[in-house]
This record gives sequence, structure tokens and C-alpha cells, in this order.
Amino acid sequence: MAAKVRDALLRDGYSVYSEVPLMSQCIDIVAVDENSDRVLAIECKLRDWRRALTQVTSHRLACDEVAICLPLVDKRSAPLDQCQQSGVGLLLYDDEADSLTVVVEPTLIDQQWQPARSWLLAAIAACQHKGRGGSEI
Amino acid sequence: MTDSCTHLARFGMPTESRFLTEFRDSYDWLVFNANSLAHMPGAIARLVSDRSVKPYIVDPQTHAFQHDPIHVMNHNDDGTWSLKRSIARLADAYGPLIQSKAGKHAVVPSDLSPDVIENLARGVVEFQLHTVRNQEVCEENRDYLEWMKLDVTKPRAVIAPYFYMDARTYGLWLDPNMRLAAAARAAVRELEGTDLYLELVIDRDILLDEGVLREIASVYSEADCDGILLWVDALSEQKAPGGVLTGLLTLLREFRSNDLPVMNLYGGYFSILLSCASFGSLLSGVCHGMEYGEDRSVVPVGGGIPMAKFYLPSLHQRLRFGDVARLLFNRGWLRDGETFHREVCSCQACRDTLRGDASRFSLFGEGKPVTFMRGGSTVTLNYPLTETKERCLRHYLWRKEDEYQSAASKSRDDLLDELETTATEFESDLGVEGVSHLRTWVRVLREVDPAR
Repeated sequence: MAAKVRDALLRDGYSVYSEVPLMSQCIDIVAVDENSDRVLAIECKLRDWRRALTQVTSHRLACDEVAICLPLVDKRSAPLDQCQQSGVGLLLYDDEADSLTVVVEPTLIDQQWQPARSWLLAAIAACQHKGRGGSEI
Repeated sequence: MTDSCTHLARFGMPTESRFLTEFRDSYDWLVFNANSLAHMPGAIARLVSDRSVKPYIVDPQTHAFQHDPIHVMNHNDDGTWSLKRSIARLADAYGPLIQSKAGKHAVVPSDLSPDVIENLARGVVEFQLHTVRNQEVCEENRDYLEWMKLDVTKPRAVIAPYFYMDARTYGLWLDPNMRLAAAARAAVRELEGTDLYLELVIDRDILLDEGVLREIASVYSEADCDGILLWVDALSEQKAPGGVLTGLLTLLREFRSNDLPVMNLYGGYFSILLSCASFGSLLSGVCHGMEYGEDRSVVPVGGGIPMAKFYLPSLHQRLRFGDVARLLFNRGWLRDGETFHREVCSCQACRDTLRGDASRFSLFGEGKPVTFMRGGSTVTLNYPLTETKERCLRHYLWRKEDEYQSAASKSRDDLLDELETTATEFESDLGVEGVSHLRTWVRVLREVDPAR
């Protein structure tokens, strides 16, 4: 699913990087809005949204926004409240329509820990160098 | 060092030697696994004969031969299997039974006839008494050691051969273990007088069966030995439910009532507290490894990629760096160096690393990306730099020194209050699960009547 989500974000104009290492974790997808320079970290999970929510929590130290992405199976079972309460965005990917819907907008994080931010930007630069991301499709 | 609790430090790999030397004033005894000693006897002889002059003991690791032999084999590049070299050396030292079984068949209780028991015990005792002695001691200390008439090559105590027991098999192993203990005592007396310790290695589930616990404690208490070294398979004090820790207390009380000192070979802060007089001095010593060794499985599980972890002093737990950084950042403790040292840690390693600048806390988490295959997909993780691991280790060792000392000097109420307060303070950040070990410890420790 992560590869399809990545393609959908690229179509939406983001610069997208996959498998970006950050501290003791690895972010599934980092999407950079080239207009605002905002950095969005996304954890994709087929089933275990709780684990995805836990994983994105640490990314808050380095990113402007964090979100989880789940397959669109049954919108009613999606963790809307949990995401809203924790300021985490919720994206649902529709495999049939190959489309990505933002169900909960992520809250803008107003303060990052600068060392973590620097690590993330360096990791993105390394991904660009290795061809593991970028704006090209 | 404290009077109440012997602080034991375990040697894990050669790169740790310099930390054991650097922190020599903080611990009392060194512990080596027999396979390490078989693999690098010269390096270990130099370590025990350096200026620290620390007593040492050797875990004979005889249980290694009772499991499926695959656990002592290497899978070679050409697809063949061969006995690990250090295990092969041990097998040579331990006599005919182990030589014939190692890498081929598991040792079972019916193998242990009286002759075999005597041979095995003698081989295991001789290995511990003679392996370091047969090596060159640290050259620069030779004159000093001779002048002081110090025989640093002799272990502080010898450990009898032992086999691991779980709730289903203890009935099969209890008697052979006791006969090995008696044979080891005879061998020690004949070869060289020194203390004899029995190593009790048990499955965690045994701690949940009070009847079995009392039976084992009763049998071991009747053995002719100077103490017990305890190893509970994969017992993480941070993850163990209260019932398991209560079982541990039951076992320790039984030994205590028989005046038999017990040292925990794999323990953390909970064990340190159990060594305090205010909690009945149920343990006489606690051993930890170099940061990662507060619990260990009897049968080794895969190594995996080591993550940078930071020992959070107030939680008495190692946490992944990202989780610690988030916690400290959210609480405002990474604002400046002074705040960090006041709220988190002011050990020498933290002071040397931060140098007044809290953003340098990042140096405890620096890594380089490593890509590998897991479950058929490519995964990239940050592998800690050597310097990162060393900083985390130094911080851990400073904190351990402090734990052994401060636990012995504080009152029972203060120690329990600290745990309660920390749990309350951090539960809104980590959830009740993240602090549940502290509350479990408090609940279990309140059961301890120091007068009993």
C-alpha cells in the first residue's frame, strides 16, 4: 500500500521520500509540500492503526505534521476520534479507485526539537542522493 | 561498592574490557561466561590481573549441552554445520560425556551415572580453577601482584555444573543437579579450597508454582554450598507480572530462612532493592551486563540490530532514544543543560556529553542508516554509531553505580515513595502501561516484611 500512497502523493504535487530513518525508527513516507516547505510524516498500516499511531508520535519531534494512512475498508471503523484527539492526520487509501482521501486534517506542530529536525532533513537529502524519493514519478 | 549488596558486572564481549577497567571502582566482582573464557583466556587473564584486582567467577554454562545441539552450532557459508569453537574447547575441558555429546546429542538426565557425574564435576571445577592461572597475567602488574602476594588468578568461588529446570522437567533434573553439586564440592576440596556456589537456573513459570518453589528451595538449601546464583530464564523485571515477582520473593525468602546467600545473575533495580536491609536483604548480590544484560534467555535468541537506548534513571529502564527524546522534549527538559541535569540526569557521562547544551542530548541517539531485508521487504533503520553506544553505556554504568549506593542509603518509605511518585508523574506521558512496572514493584515490595 505504501508504494501506491507514495504515487498518489506525488500526483498531488508533493516531494515524497520512502523509508526515511529517524532516530530509532524509520518513517514509511515523508511528504514535503514544496510551496510551504511543510514536512508531513506518514505511517501506513493495513490493519494495526494503534501501532501506526504510536509510531508517528515520535516523528512529531522532527515534522510539521504527522498522519497515519489506512486502507479504505469501512470508514465507520476508522479511528477518527483517536486521530482528532491526538492531532494526527488520517488518510484513507481506496485501492479500487486508486485515490487518497484526507479524513482528518493533521494539526500543525508548532515546535520541533532542532536536532531531530536536522537529522530528518539530512536523511531526506540522503534519500534524494540515493534515488529513494523526490518529486519525479 | 556497598556493604549490603555485592555489585557484580558481567563481561560480554572484548570491546567491553575497557569499560570494566574504567568503572572498576563501581563494582565488586566480575562474572565471565565459560564460553567467553574458553574463547579468549589470555584477554580475560589480563583483565582480572589489571590494577583493579577484582574477584571473579566463571559461569560454567553447562546447560548449553542439555538443549537441542543446534544452539551450540554455527551455520557455515558452505551450508554445513559445525560446533562453535568456544563450545568445542569447553567440551574438551568438561570430559568424556560432554565431548561425546557436544553438537550431536543433548545431555539427558539418564546420561548422568555416578562415574559421569564425578568426571563432569571435576572437569568443570578444574576449568574454572586453572584456565586463568595457565595464562600470562597483566605484565605491568606482575611485580605488584607478587609483592602483594595476591593470587588474582584464583576465582572468588567455583560454580558447580548445573542444568536448567522448568516446571515439567524439574523432577528429572533436581537429583542430578544435587549429585553434581556434591561431586563439585568434593572436587573443590581435593583440588583447592574455595567457596562453592550452586547456580539455580529455572524457567519463569516455576515462580508461579509455590509448591515447586518450596521444594526446590528446600533441596538446594540442604546442599553443601556457600551460596546460590540465581538465573530465571528471560525474567525482565520491567515486564514481569506481579505474580512472577511475588514468586521470586517466595523463593528468596526460603533461602533466606536457611541463611543461604543468593545473588541474582541477571537483575535490575528491583533486585537491587531486594538486596536492601529495608526489604529483608533477600539478595546478597546483583549482576548486570554492559547495558543490555539485566535479563537473559537460557537459550540464546537471535541477535538483531542493537538500537540506541537511553537508561532513564527515574524509570529504571532503557528506552528507545526516540521515545526518550520525545518524552523529555514534551516535558520541557531539553530546554537547557541545567534543566536536563536537574530533571533527568547529572551523571558524568551526561555532563561530558551535553557540556551545558541540551541539544547535545542528540549525541545519545546518533546513528547511521542501515538497510536490510525483513519479512521479504527492505527496512532501513538507524544503527547507533560506536560513539553513541559508548555514551549510552557510560551513562548506564554511572547510573548503576548510583542505584547500588543510593538504594542502600535510603529508607524503605523513601524508596517506595520515589517509585510511586515517578509512576504518577509519568503516566500521563507514557500511559499506565509505561509506568506499570514501578507500581508492580511497589505492590510486591510492600509485601516484604524486613523482620522476617
